[in-house]
Amino acid sequence: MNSFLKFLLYLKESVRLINIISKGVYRAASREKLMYGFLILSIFFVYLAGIAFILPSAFQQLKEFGNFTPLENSLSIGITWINIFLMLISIFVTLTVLQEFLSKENLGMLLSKPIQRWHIIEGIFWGIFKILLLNCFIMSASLWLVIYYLGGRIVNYIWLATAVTLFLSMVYTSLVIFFFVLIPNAISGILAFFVIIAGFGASLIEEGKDIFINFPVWFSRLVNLGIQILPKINFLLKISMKSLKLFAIEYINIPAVIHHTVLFLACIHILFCLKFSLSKK
Amino acid sequence: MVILKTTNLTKEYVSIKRFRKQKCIAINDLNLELSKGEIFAFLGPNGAGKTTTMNILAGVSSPTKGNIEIFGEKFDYSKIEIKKRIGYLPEYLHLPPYYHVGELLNFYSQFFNIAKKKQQQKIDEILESVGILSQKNILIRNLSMGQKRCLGLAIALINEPELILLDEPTVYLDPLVSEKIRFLLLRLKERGCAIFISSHILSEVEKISDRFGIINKGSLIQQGNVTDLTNKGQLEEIFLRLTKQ
Repeated sequence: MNSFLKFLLYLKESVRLINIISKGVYRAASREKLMYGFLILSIFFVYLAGIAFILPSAFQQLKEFGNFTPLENSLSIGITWINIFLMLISIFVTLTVLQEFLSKENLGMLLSKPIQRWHIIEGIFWGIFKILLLNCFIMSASLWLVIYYLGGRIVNYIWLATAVTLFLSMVYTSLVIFFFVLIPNAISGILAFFVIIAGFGASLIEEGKDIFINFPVWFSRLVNLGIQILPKINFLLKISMKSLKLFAIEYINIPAVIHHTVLFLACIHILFCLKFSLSKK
Repeated sequence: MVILKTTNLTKEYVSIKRFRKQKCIAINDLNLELSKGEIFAFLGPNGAGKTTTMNILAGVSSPTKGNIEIFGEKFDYSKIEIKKRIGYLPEYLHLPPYYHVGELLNFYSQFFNIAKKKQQQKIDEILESVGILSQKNILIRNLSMGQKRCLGLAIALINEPELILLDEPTVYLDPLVSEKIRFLLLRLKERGCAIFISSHILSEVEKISDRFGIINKGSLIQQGNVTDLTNKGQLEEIFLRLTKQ
């Protein structure tokens, strides 16, 4: 019982320390000019989502959009843009913040204070999450305005959909941190980007795997192996481009998505906290 | 009362050159002791292992071998409770340029659970003692190198530490501020703080320290009492004689 109480106190103190670091990270991230550039661009693209409503006949001819109403198509396009820009912001801001906070000098200053290594890395994650939350809110509010102006029948879906997108941006941030702990330079951002793209494209490749039949056997086997593995990642993250484009909220099993993503987040956090704690000291 | 004690402290770095592992010994079997109310000067040429030692003592990095005892307890980088009683000024500071002086001190003071009511008063007191109270609301990017050093010292002292580790505390400082810092350190010593200073400015060290240790190529080659030095400037003579060998 005594050790359990000690553990609880340790957890409480850890949360306090992580919160202090996250405040510092939030401040550092909010100075990032590139983020504001992406935010302005995202608002512009979100407003362009209204084009599906303005030019419905053009969109009705497209296979992916034909079965939905113009308002639903606008919403799908808007959500996709929000997801893309949140991904870009999470990768770039995380990289910049990591380079500043995990520099030799800054680590020296922080580690001499009553704090442990894993507090710092978790603090960085939650600080970036706060800034992503703010960005996500602004983007969603823009989309809400567009949809409200166009008809306003399905406005409430926006907040639910962007909550899922925000959840996914937590995954992107975690991936960048994970790769940065392994390779502490900009390559980590590129690696994280490739993994995310792999997750997006997996389901699309699976549909077209017959194309590879005429290729040499070793090649088609390799592709098949890749296709079999990649959807596993994709299934875990539930982030296929297809499901996002068609506004997946209506038919995706949300509890399963949340369950898988939380599990994935927990695993990757344990991994990068352990790696960072055990790294060269 | 012994505050800090190291036993056979060793730090090795491993590098890989042409597919071969190469060991570099940064510090080798270092045995040091520091008592309450004592100022210990840690001297040595560039690359001797001073900063590595300081980093290990501050809990920033861990030794390859050997033990550290601080306040009678075995110390390593994960001991949060002991770290609460240590103040550390590193050689290279990272001070975010977009913070105001007072804000940054406020940020670092939060690690030590200082009551919010006392926080501002404490920040003012420390800034006053290091001579930059008038710069409290100035952005860090507008501070001079010397003022940044003073701010680093203020960060090291925010938790009223009992063990203070200072790596080149008076570098970049003008003689006036250096003197102020010397008086501050002597006041802290009178209060019972144990102070461990690494410095290149031997004349200054001679003025305030009680004992000195000279490290070269990772090994402690001489320890002694400053009071045993017969004439002014003798410390520099000893330093040059030993490190040239």
